[in-house]
Amino acid sequence: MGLVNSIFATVQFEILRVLTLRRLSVAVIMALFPPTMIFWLQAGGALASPGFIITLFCGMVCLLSLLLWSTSNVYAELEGKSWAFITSRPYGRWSILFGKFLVAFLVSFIISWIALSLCMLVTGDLDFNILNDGKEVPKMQVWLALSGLLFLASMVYAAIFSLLGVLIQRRAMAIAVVFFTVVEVVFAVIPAVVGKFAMSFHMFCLLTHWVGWVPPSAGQDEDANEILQDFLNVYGRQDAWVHLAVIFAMTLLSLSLAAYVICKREYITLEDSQV
Amino acid sequence: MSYLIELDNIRKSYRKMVALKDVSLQVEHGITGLLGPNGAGKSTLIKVLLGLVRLNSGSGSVLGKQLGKEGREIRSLVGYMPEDDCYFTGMTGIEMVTFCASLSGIPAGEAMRRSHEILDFCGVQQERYRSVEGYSTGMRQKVKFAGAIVHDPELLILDEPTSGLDPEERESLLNRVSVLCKGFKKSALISTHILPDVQAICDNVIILAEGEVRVSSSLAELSKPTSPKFMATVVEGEERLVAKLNRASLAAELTPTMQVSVNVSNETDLQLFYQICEQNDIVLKSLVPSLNSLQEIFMAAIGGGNNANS
Repeated sequence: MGLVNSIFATVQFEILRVLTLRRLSVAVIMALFPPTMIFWLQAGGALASPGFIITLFCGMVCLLSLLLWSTSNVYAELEGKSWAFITSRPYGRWSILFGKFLVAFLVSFIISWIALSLCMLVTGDLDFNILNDGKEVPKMQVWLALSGLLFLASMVYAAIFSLLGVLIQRRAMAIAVVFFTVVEVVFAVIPAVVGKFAMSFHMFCLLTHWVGWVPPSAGQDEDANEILQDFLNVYGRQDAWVHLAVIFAMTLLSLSLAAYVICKREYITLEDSQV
Repeated sequence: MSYLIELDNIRKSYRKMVALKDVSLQVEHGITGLLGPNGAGKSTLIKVLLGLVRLNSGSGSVLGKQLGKEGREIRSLVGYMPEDDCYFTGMTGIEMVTFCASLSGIPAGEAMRRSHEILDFCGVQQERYRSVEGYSTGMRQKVKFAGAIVHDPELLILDEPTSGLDPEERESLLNRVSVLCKGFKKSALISTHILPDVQAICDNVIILAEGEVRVSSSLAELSKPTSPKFMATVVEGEERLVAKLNRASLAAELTPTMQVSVNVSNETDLQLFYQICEQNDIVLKSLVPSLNSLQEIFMAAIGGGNNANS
């Protein structure tokens, strides 16, 4: 119960931090960036694949928000000299980890979900041309599927970036960007077992389950369908629950590992090393 | 007898630099002053006690709990006030203390109630509703102190608690520590550079230098005079008295505070001293045994050899 109280207190404290003018402004700018870009592209007649562009922009916003909120979990406290004050409490270390994870997850999901919803509003009656088994997928279904994916992405990447923040203090954000590029972008497109370690692969598979769509072009495109078929032939066709289970397991594994490391590790500041 | 803190050959190094060199120590309950020059290892010792750093070798216990094995239990029994200006931006004083209470596992409602009580005790009035960023140094120290004691710990570890405080605030804070320790049976370990603070409230003194314990003893024991000196205060004629005493073979000198320091080793010397005062019409205001000053002890300890646990 003590741990729950201290995590709840950290969540409250971090939410207070979010509600400062500076951070709220950053959140508003991030949430407004995708719909503004969509509006601009639509007005210029350059919005060829709205589904793909919306997914790309909202995914970027989600990722950026997670990088800002998750990776600095330990370093922010070390730099602010509050590390010793917090960790001298019985549940200090775990409450920092889990409290900050929860806030990063929730804030990133809310910002990217608002961005997604505004994009849907901005596109109005624009046809997304997303077909599943030859039938047009309703926009509401696309919105629900992308909302679900943003939720899962916020959760699993918040956990992974929290682990990176616990393992590496300085330049954790840069390392997280490199990690994402290598594992989640490069590994994910390698047609081998290594690709299954990328969470983006599992989310991609979920997307095909929920809307039967493969980016970047619309589903009626023969080439796109071929790519999808090849992809699924290589990786196998698992049920959606398998992919969901992998994403939840990765979240739990990352958090468990981070909890172990943050509890056992000795974090030394420059002043400490000078006694 | 159970000690408050027991350390046995504790060694801690940061890469090549050894911060604590085989420190062995027994600290009794009460208020203990931890003294030492910069880089002596005081902060490392505190971090060792809180379980924030790993030991290279050695063992120890705090309040009967084993270091390195029962870290969480130790931290739930200890209240730590760091030296750093580690306030949480965007929080008011009451929010910061409540946050500290919640981090110790106290439920939200109870944490809020305790925080108000503790801030009352610490003399923080309506300022508690203002953001901590706008606080003066004294107010920040009060809020940090409140955060350290809000969960009712048995042992307080205070790192430079009076630094940056004006004399009145300093006295108030020391009084609060004294009230907690003497009235509520708590113990305190106070790391400080301010020797009068130690002399004012501490029962025991530890002096660290170069990662070693140079002195660990009770203040009363340390203050015992090493020579049979008395300090005399007179209404006027200090210099005349010194001259007369020296002429009578009673070694005497005038201190910078215009007191007369005189060697009185037996009853005959004492009678002679009174006689000289009477014969020269010197009015004596007080005559007290001279005590060793903490400053002398400190300077001797950090300058010289090892007389740990003296």
